[in-house]
This record gives sequence, structure tokens and C-alpha cells, in this order.
Amino acid sequence: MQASDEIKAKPSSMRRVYFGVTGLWLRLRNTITAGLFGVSGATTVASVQHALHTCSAGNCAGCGRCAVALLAAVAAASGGIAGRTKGRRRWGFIALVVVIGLALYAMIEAWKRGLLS
Amino acid sequence: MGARRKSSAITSQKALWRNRRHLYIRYASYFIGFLLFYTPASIFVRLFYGMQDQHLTGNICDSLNLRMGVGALLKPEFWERVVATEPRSLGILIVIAIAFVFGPIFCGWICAAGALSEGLSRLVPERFQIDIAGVVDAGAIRYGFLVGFMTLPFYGLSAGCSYCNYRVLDYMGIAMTGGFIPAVSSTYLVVIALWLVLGGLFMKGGRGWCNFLCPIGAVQNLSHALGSRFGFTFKLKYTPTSCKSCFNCVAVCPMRAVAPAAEGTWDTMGGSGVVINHHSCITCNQCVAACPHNALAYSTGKHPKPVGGSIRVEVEEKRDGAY
Repeated sequence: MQASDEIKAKPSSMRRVYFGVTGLWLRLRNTITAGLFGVSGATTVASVQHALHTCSAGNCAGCGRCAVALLAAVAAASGGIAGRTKGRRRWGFIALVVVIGLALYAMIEAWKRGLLS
Repeated sequence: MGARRKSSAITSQKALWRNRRHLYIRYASYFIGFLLFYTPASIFVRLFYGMQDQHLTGNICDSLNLRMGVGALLKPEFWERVVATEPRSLGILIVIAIAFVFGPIFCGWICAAGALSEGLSRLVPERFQIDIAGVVDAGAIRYGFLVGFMTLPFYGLSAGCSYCNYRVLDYMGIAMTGGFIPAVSSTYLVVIALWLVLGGLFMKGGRGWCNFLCPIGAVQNLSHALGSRFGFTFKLKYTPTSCKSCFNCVAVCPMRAVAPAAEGTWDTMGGSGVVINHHSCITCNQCVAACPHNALAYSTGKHPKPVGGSIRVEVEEKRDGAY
């Protein structure tokens, strides 16, 4: 291995440093929005685990917890995206998250009906 | 204008040797952790509970009950078991208390599951690996996961056992010794994909699972981050006036908790210096071993304050004003 000493700065971006109240607010916002992605991950895992272990192949009781958890996951991820992006990127990423959520729900439904088992 | 230096190797021969020696000591410690808590040896479980004869998966769940303990921290039943001094429930509290004073040494020195993914990451060249140092706020994401993990049981849901890398590692131990594996589900394949493949092989440092998805690590780091604000606790301490910004520490940190600082953050002997994220640091002290200038130390005392005050936030913004 060899050490690389190049200094790289992204040409399309710049780094700004904030202090005091603005710094505190930005830190809080960054932490909460990043945390929302974590909440989204946990609820996604819980949704899938619930479906796989409770409702496999025709045993679904119709409690709807998997759908609610997935909805919460999509909402949390969307909140995280909304706090960290602007403009078209924001709506593009939110749309992507919604599509992923729907695809996951379709897979869970297929699993519950025994199509994937 | 900020700048990021990409560092992928240790530049000093002496530091390289010290770093290797420290790595071997750590892996020896992890191996002892494996023997203590996992099948086939499960020494801790056998000694503590005297389970010689019955079938024993022997993982941490049977002895310290860490993951389930974290999930139950908000439940009254858990505290009833603590009051009754039930050893498994006390386990997670002991680990949290140790993390407050000494840092998450369970993660940095005992957890064989984290060590396995960290070891695997050395098999893949760095150019194929994702590096999250200073780019992603992994600590905050993991805290979010922890919040979800602890609140979901109140809604009849769980992100528990099926997605536990401890259990999968234990099953690996059982399989290697020719034992019977009680159950293997497709979720274990997801765990292996996230823990060993994406978070291990293809993430620099090999601690992707620990960084984003481990609730035990999250609760310990939360305790450590709180404890590190006090002078009497042990933590990774940075001395900017000794730092020459060689970034060896950035290169070796498995948790990517050490990142290059922005210019002007510290008064260093040269360069920008580094910032340490105590919400991710597992006090493995690999950076201490790799530092040729003794700018990092695992000791008590207060943190140095950056130039301009302790509340200093860097934000990478697009030139058009977007984040």
C-alpha cells in the first residue's frame, strides 16, 4: 500500500463552517434528519420480520402492522430526505423511497399469499 | 473552501509496526471473546450458569442478553427483573456502565461479531470499498435505529432476534463443529449480506453493521459520549498541538470515527488535524497505536476545544445553494 497525499475538493460543492446558534441548529437538524433514516431502517426490518415470522404462507391475520410499519418507514425516510435536500432532488428522492416502499410491500403481500415461499 | 485528504496507508515504519502489533493483540482479545460467549466453547455461559448438559446455543443471549436487553430498556418488566438481580438483565446495564467510564470496550475488544466483519474487510482492496469517514453521520443514523428498536415492541413489532448477527455467528460456530442448527431463515441471509458482505467486505474498516445497525453499540456509544464530557472518564483524547496531520489515525480507524478536520479547526503543528466522533468511537485504540506523534491518547481529562468554540458545524453545500 502506498500513501496518497492528494488534496481533493469537490468542484461542485463547498464546505462552510457555522458557529453558535446557527451551528447548534444545523447540528440538531443534521442529527435528527440522519436519525430519521435509522428509524426508517428499524421499522422496515420490523415490518419484514413481522411478515416473515407471523404471516407466512396464508397465515396472515390481517392486523395490518406490516403496512403501518412500512408506511412509517417511508415517512421517516422522506422526512430525512426533506431535511437534507432541496428542490427537485428532494422530490426525486422521496419518489424513489415511495417506490421502494411499494415494491417491498408488494413482496410482503406475495410472501403472505404463499407466492414466494 | 474545505479540503479532504485521502489517506489509505500508514507513513511511518515504527507506527506501522506498532499498529500491527496492536491489531494482533485486539484480535487475540476478540478470539477470547468468541471463546467466552459463542459456541462451541461458551465458557462464560457454562461457568456462569452451569449449563453443561443441556443443549446450549451458548451465545451472548444466554449469558448477557444484550440485544434483547436494549430492546426491553423502556419496559417495566425489564426493570422488575433488574430489581430481582436477574443476571441476564443486569448484563446490559453493566456494559452501559463500563462504556460510561471506559468507553465501549465491549465493541472494541470483545465483540467477535464485529471483529469478523472487520477482519473480512481486509480481504478486499480499498478502492472497491465505501468509506464513510467524515461523509455520513453514522452515529445519528444508528441512534435513530436504536429509537426504532426500543419503541417498536410497544406496537407489537420487533426488530430483534431474526436480524441478530450474534445469533448468526453462533449458528456458524455450531455448523463448524457439526452441531444441529435449530432454525435457519431467509432473514439470516439478509443479516449475512448486510453484516459480512456490504458492511464487512465492501466497507472500509469493515464495521458497517456496527456503524449503522447495532443497537448494543448505539446504547454504549450514547453512554460513552455522555461520559466523555466528564474529566474523570477514559476516552480518546486529541492533542492538536502535537498533530502533524499525517492522518494515519484516519486510515486505521475501523469505525471511521476519526476524520480530517476542516482547515482552521485546530492550531496544529501542520495541516488541518482531525476530529473524533465519540458517538462512533469504540476505544479500540488502533489510532493511538498508529499515531507517530503521540497526538492521540486513551486517557482521562477534558477535550480540547476547537478554534472558535465547541459548537462548530461543517456543512457541505452545492454551489447552487442546495445541501
